[in-house]
Amino acid sequence: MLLPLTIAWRFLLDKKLQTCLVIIGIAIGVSVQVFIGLISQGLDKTLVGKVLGYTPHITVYSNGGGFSDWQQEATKIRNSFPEVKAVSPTVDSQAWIQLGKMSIPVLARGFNLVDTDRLYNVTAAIYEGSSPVNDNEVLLGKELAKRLDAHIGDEVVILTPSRQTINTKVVGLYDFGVGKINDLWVISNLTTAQNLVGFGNKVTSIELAINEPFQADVVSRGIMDVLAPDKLSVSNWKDQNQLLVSGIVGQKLVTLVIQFFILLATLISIVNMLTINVFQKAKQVGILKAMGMTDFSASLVFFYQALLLSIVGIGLGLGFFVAFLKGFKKYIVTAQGLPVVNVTIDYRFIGLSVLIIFVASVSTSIFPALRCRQLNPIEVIKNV
Amino acid sequence: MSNVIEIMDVHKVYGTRVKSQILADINLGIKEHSINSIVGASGSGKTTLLNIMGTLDKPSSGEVTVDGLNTKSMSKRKLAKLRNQAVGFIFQFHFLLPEFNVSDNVLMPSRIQRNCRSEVKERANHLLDMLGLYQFRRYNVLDLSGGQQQRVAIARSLINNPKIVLADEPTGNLDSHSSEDVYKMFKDVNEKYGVAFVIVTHDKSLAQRTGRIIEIEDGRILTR
Repeated sequence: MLLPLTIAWRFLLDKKLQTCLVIIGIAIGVSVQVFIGLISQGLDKTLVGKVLGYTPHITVYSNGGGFSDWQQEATKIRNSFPEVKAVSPTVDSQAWIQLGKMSIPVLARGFNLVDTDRLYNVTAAIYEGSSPVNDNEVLLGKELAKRLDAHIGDEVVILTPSRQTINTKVVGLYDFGVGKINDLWVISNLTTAQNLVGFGNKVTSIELAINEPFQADVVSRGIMDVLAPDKLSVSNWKDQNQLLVSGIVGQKLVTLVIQFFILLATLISIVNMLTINVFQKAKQVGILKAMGMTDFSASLVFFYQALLLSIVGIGLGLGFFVAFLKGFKKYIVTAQGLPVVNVTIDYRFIGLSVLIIFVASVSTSIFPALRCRQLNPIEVIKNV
Repeated sequence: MSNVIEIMDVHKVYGTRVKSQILADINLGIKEHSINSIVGASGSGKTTLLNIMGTLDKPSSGEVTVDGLNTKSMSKRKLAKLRNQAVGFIFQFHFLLPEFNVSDNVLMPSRIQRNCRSEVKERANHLLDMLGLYQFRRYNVLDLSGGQQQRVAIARSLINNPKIVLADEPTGNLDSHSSEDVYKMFKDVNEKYGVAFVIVTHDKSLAQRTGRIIEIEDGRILTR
């Protein structure tokens, strides 16, 4: 096994330029393959993150206007759907907030904060004060607090369109990093919002987050089947953002097509190089066979060449990938200096990509190996 | 003395639609420790006969026995092993591997049989010394003259201690001085190691110095 490896190594060294070009070809193939894949993943995550940052993946509404038995439904969802990671009962109402003479339209949102933290992570967004644990306490967004000139401890009045009014105390300020939400949401606990709406113990909806956001339509259909479909309706973010979803699916398809052709081009370059190499080294292979090298061992020479090219090419390709990534993060940035797409290193994806390229590259040696097998030393010796 | 190669009723025909008879009715034995030459005009079938003796080519009919083993029903793998162990080859264009140095080229047949023992390396050094190439053992073969390259090919053919060396026009590419050297080496090796030689040649003076001249014409042996 060692002699074919040694011969393979010498054959590659003998054609340095040819070898370097193929290695660079593989390296570019690998790096672009991994880079495009991760950019595509990052783009999905960024887009979905931006769209879904403060939107539930699935929302369960009551057809009657409010759930009275929401605890039961929430338990049923938790028990039947392990892919659901957050179940957050919510009370929403259009309202106005008033401080002094200033009155601004807002969305009053009552959450069970322990559950909601898994969905929106409200607690982490509070930059001043604390959570509205007690009744009649509210959180205001950064922009809204600025417009109202409200501070921690201020008393604010919240009015509903049905002229319900409650006096609340500002206990904290949050910043979700999205101006529109900071300007709109007034967050309280469930009871405060229920009192405001005059809802008793009811909630307006149950908001859900799931592990795989792209499965939202499938999971929502499952939920619909499990819960009473005549009393409830279920919506999911995919149905509400069909244009975006088809855009993401299209982008994924295009990425797949590009990845496929990059892989194909890489493989063709290896097959070409090795096949040319069989012709270039036909004399040597013929003489080795004449000296007693078996067809199998002679074929191994080309297998080892593919193996060596793949290992070095993939290693170099990963180096290129790191350089591409650093360049992307440094130079392809927004006006704020942040990367346009958040690319996270997914080792599983990189490992899988490398494995596919490695197996495919090494498999390319089959064609030159077969050609080598057919080489007859007599023909080679005669045709000098 | 027994025969190291025996050829019985061998015929060789090339082509399927248009058939050309290259060898006909060949019966021949090559004795151990002998030096033989095959002479004949171009296209007479000398090289084909040599290739059949070395199991590089198969006869269309007839049988070939090498080192006591009938090669007729041998697999390609077994033939390769037989060639590696019992037969050494020397070609007109020496066919050295330019990717390897002199020493590696000489050792190549032993490495094919996965023999990397120190005795083999010692034998390689001894052969190179005997052929006046020891000081060039680390050189690339392309840096040697034609005569030196042919001597490397001779050393390579002898590394596995074969029973017979088959040489196809070994002096065809050399000047008369180098040709003389090559023949002397064959003679030395034959005397020292008892290796039999079959030399295909156009060189009449070389042929006359061998112990036996096999003359071939139109695929048939005239004199044995």
